Amino acid sequence: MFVLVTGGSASGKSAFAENAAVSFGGERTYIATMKITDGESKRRAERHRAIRADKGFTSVERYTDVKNLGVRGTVILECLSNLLANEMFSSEGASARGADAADEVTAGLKSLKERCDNAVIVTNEIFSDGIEYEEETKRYMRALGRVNVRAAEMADAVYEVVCGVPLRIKEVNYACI
Amino acid sequence: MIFVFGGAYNGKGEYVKSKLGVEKITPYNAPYEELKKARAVRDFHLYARDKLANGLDVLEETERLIGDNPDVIIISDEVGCGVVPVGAFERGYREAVGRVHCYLAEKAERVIRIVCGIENVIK
Repeated sequence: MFVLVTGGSASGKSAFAENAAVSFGGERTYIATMKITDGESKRRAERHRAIRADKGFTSVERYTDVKNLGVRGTVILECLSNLLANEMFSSEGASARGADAADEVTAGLKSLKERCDNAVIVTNEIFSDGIEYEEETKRYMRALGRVNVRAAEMADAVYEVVCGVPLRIKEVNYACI
Repeated sequence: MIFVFGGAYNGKGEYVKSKLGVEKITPYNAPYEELKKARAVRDFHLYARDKLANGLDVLEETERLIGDNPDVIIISDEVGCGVVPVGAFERGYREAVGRVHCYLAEKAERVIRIVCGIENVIK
């Protein structure tokens, strides 16, 4: 089962993704994509890691190159917006070596779909604030939009989480929760 | 009239082409004679912005267009899910787009919200 979870920030996507992954059972891995840059984010990450450990997750940090990550069982990838930013803007990313960051992220998703029994992919709805951003930001938004559409095409189920309530926007004969 | 809306870059145009069978989508800033005959018009939020910038009544202009082209497909970006801007024009823009979306949704025989390229018919 390949599930895409989208929604605004702090809408309850992570909790929903964790519950969905727990419901799948088996070996569970959490793929964290956010680089830890300061004490605050470190403390937050440690707290989340402890909560997830209680739920039976092993956490791995992976900032780029998900397609070569050897994982199996059930995985959560959180989140596509961070992963894409890393591929676009970091020195180890796809863009730095002249490759297309959106294609790289998509290849990572394909690999997870092939390797894993279940994958729950978390992304971010950042497209509805009406702000005219500068070109570099627009380029990132276009790329994330493309990644989201491709992930949704690949997915067996797509959920939009609103105020903690998961709305099913695509589903093939399966209920996660 | 069909109203297709959702966040920017969510694949609305591709959806209208592939699922609603529209070959050519007319940009919002095409001459009015073209908009009157268009199968689909895109970036309608910018149409509203344009009218507002020119001191026109966005709702009246939209009513006129829908009156002249009752079967058109209107494609527009959701722009109201951010912090309310401090600037008066930007604030008025979001207000006008929100109101015109409500009007379009009321008039439309079908309202389709696109998320990650997937349609949800909400009316």
